[in-house]
Amino acid sequence: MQDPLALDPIAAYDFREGQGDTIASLAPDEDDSLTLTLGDAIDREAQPPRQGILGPVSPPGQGGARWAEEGLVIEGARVAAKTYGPAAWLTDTLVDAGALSVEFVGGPGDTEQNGPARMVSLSVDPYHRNLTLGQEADRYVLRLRTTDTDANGTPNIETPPGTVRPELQHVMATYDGGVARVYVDGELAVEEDRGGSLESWDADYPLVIANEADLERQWRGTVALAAIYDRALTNDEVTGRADAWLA
Amino acid sequence: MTRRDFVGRLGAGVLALGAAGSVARGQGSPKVGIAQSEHVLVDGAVRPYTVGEMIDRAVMFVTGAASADAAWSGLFSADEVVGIKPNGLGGYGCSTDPAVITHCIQRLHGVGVRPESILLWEDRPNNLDACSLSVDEPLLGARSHLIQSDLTEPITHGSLTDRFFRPLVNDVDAVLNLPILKAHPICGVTLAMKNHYGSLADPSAQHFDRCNTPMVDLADMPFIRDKTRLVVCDGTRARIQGQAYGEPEYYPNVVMAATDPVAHDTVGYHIIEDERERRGIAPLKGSDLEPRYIAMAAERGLGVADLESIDYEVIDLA
Repeated sequence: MQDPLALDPIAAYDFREGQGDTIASLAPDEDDSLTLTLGDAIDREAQPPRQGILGPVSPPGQGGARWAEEGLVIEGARVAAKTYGPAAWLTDTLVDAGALSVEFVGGPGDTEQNGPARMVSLSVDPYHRNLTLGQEADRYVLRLRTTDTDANGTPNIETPPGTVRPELQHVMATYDGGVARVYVDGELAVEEDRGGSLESWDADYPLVIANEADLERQWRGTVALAAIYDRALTNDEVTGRADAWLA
Repeated sequence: MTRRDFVGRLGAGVLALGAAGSVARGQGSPKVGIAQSEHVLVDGAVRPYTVGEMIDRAVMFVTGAASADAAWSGLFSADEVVGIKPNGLGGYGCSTDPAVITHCIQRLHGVGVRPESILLWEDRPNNLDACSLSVDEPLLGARSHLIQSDLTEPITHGSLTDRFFRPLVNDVDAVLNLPILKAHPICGVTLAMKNHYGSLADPSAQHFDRCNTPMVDLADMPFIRDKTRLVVCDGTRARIQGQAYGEPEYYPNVVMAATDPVAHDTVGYHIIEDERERRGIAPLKGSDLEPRYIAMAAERGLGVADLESIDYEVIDLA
């Protein structure tokens, strides 16, 4: 069941055997909009940043990421696996479904990164998003925009302190049209009502893994898998997925 | 108060640094205060209290004064007519924020400037509207104007001939320039000097030579050069490429203050270049979009364009 396509995701990225600077979705990509690009992040020697007016300046993703057997290892800054343009088909599909699941398998580099550091994000900048699954220190955070929330998808839905550990973890966020849940390693970590609908989503936003679209909310660690489903997976399905990964 | 009077007050030790232009004549490095706070924006909207504190801290740095009251009192006098030029061209998402304008007016009131002696202007109704200003509703007693309602006869200076907002030329003693931080598709960046394209009647006619030559002549107009007392730039949001209007695409979370508009524009230009480099966007420098007018203005003696010669400081308000 570690098969990324076992439960019919609408987008799925297996980083375990990656190479090069693009990652294609394993699920049918209806309009070729879901291939992720890494820019110049891979296998380049990290250059020390120069000092700019407001802080260090280094070009996007210069160094700081490498491929390994367990996935994409991100240790630097300004690294993102990002669609070239808007992930419009993905957004429209989720809006039509009115429900979703976001799966992320990876190992956080530490339990201090924050912002929240973006793991999976359908967003355009720090203030405008459809959804984000991220890490805030030792908690996982879901921001899910509905017609009842602000454009940033807040208030946050947060797992309890200590749920993030610097080891391989399976994280799944689900939304069934009324209730949002975040599971960690197959266990339900938080569950909250989220009213409204997804009709306020913006189809112009890209899909970004491991960062915000402006590259200012870096997530560090190892990404093994990211997948998005157009339905809320059941408790049993989530548990099955986690067991397959963590066994 | 004349410019000579003002510079004389500086010499008396009221302030550490003084009016625009004076620095360029060898009186030391111009200062640019850059107050930054990660809390100034909430869901993309400016928090008035925070931005007010940022303005105060930036202006205090520039003047060397120990308090905001002292800083503003050193820059403006109670008996002056103060003209404020905001920038509303960017639309609602990227124009001088009303909270910035309001705080500056309140500080002028604190100096003793009468509300009816403060005026604001823009060249189009939409631009006033984007700053939440209206000709029909004074803001804290300060009236807003559309420049077309009161224009001079054509004035020529160097390459530039245009009609100007008459009160700027005839009535205003001191100009408070409130630009924003933006890229521009013709001249690279639009900051303090470019903001005065909203003080003249036909800005579209002044875009020849990618604005460079007319921009310097505009900044050298006596009623702009000699009256510019302070620049306060709303850099909470910014655009770093493309058009000079639209939604912000970068959130520096800063307010910049300077008495030297050329030094101000130099720092602002580098902030935009820095972010372009972070995002892998080609630099403006060396391209057709390089804002050559900044260095040209320095050559004209209007200020300092060498970053190494500018005393800038980021003041982190966390």
